[in-house]
Amino acid sequence: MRETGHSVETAHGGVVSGHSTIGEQSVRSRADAEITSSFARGDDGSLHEVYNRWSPLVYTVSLRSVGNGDDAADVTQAVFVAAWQGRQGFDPDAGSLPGWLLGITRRKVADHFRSRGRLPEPSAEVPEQAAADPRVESVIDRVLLADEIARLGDPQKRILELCFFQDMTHAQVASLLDLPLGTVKSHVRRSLGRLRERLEVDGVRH
Amino acid sequence: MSGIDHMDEETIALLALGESVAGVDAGHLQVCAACQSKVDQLRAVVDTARTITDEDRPMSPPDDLWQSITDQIESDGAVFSKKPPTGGLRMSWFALAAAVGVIVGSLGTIVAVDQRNPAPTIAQAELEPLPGQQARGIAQVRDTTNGPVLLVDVPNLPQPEGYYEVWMLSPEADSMVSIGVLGQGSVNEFPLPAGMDMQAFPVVDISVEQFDGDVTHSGDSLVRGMLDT
Repeated sequence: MRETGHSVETAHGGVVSGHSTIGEQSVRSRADAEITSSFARGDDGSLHEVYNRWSPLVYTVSLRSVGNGDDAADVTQAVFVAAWQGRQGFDPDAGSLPGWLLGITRRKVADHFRSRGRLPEPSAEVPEQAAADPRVESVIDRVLLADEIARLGDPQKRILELCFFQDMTHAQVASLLDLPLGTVKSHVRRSLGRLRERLEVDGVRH
Repeated sequence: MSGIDHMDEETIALLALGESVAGVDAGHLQVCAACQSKVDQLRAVVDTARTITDEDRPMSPPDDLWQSITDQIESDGAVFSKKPPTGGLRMSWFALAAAVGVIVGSLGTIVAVDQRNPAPTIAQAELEPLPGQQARGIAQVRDTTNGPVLLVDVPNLPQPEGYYEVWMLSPEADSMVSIGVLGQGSVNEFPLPAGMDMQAFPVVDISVEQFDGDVTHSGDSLVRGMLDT
């Protein structure tokens, strides 16, 4: 058993880390892409894969929006039933599958509030598309970022947590983790880029 | 455009975190909308991230929810398969191994498989070809009575110039553990080092290595996949 500390350069010139063309992210996005195309084809059983992959995202956004577990489970159920029934409306070229699922989640959360009289019915004056709920948008951003931070490997995850939640400077982080300053800086840059991209890909309201 | 010296991306990231960076031309941001806009975009991400609480971390819905979903879809009259698609041919060697009762490793090792009580699979990865490569396969971690083993099945590997080595990488592929040299047969089995944290090294990778005395990863990988635990 041995461990080496360098990044893996591929034969094709890409460095296997962070934002590069080849690496964990593309391993992950390739798996996501397979689930996505299977769902877009309407393959038998593909909803189960979609559910396994993205139900925590949908459920947690629902839970943080509606406030209790039973209602969040109802919303999540409505989202995945609607996703399956409306799968022909999913266009993989128009956006990511989790982004599309979160779009349905926004509508089902609004339905939930409406059924409790806490939101007006959509009308000519206030069409549903315009009625973004800023609280739900902020929940979505936070859950997506929490998810992406959890998916960063170490030391990237640890570095960001120290910068974000302990308000440490990159120099303090480098000293604490005994890492070169330049390494910490480049991890910070790449990780922040990943977080921004995650919001852009999955968090944008369509 | 000449004469404009934009800020480097690392400086922009640090400014977004609210750090003061020594030697930075603070006046640049006042005159350069492009750099200011990059700082603003990242700062919005940072500001949101700093409001995350434990409750924002994705958690799984209740266990019985999937059943409720399939029940509702079926009650609407849809013909619906609850089972995820299987790996098809790529899975067949496990079925074969179970039928025969043994897995014959390429190095002559014979792993007895108790058919009534097979070693449970605790993680699995689809090994996908890296760009320019054709081979694909699967890897499984099984919990045997002698500890966890990694089973690797990559059929139709081309004859290498050198040899193939199996690795487990960190998610960022910046640290790794050498698992062993891949033998001639399709199915290879490797004991995993006792106490190894699989969460820390979840990516199974097969590289081409030269007989050059260099123990580090060549960087020339054929297939790779993340274990799904």
